Amino acid sequence: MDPLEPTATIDGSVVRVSLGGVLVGTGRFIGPRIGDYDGELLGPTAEAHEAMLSALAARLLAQGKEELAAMQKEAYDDDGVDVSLIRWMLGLTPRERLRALDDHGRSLARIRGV
Amino acid sequence: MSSTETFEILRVLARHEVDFIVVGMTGAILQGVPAHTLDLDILYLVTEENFPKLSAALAELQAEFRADLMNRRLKPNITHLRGGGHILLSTNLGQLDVLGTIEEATRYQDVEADVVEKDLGEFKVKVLSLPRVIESKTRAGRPKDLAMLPVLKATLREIEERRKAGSP
Repeated sequence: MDPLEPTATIDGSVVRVSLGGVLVGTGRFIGPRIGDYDGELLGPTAEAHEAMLSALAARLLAQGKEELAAMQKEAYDDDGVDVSLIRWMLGLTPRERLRALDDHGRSLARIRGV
Repeated sequence: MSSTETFEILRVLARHEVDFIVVGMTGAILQGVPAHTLDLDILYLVTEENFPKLSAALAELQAEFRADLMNRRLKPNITHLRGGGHILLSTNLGQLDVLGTIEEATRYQDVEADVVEKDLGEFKVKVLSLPRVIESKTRAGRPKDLAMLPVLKATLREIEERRKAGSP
């Protein structure tokens, strides 16, 4: 990637745009675009600036999809078992596991109105 | 930490010094299997010495047979316990299945070597080991048992990997 090409990172819905590692502006990820941008212009014209924001938004979306796919691959085994739940349970003490069991049962009963 | 129903049932059993092993899905959950179950299954030691302790614990839990279609609110007694069969109960803290045997005719003594101890803070309980639960469910071969095998096996794999890596 060209070091002088803007890059974007996202934290929640806040987008930070940097140029050569220096923060040059912030915005919000609204739908599939970056809105409420506040910072340096990202191109010589307003059109170029908007095109760059669109490109950054598209890149963030693609990156998000890749991250999700990688995490999903990690989360399930070949049988489709959610290993992330297993890891969570193994992180609890036996007593906490009983609590999780009973809390879940109670929640279900509440939902069913029992 | 406040108590939960399952914990309380186990505490009553432990307080009465009942010889029992947690079997079924609660045992698996105690070992980290992410699952849900509506009852607690215990395999009790079928001996004259154990009957009064278990009977007293069941009385404290206000246990009644839940499979009685006539709804007579029958309470289990020592003669039922001597029978060594499956005693399916409702208690004031939830459903409790008191089993004299599991599988075809496997008794407490037959699985003592396949037991792990789980520390619940105030007391410890014996739990049928995950490999043995897997073996049991595989042997049973019923759809409800087979359905649980992937998650049981995946949990065992994860535990073994952690053990190899030296993490708790």
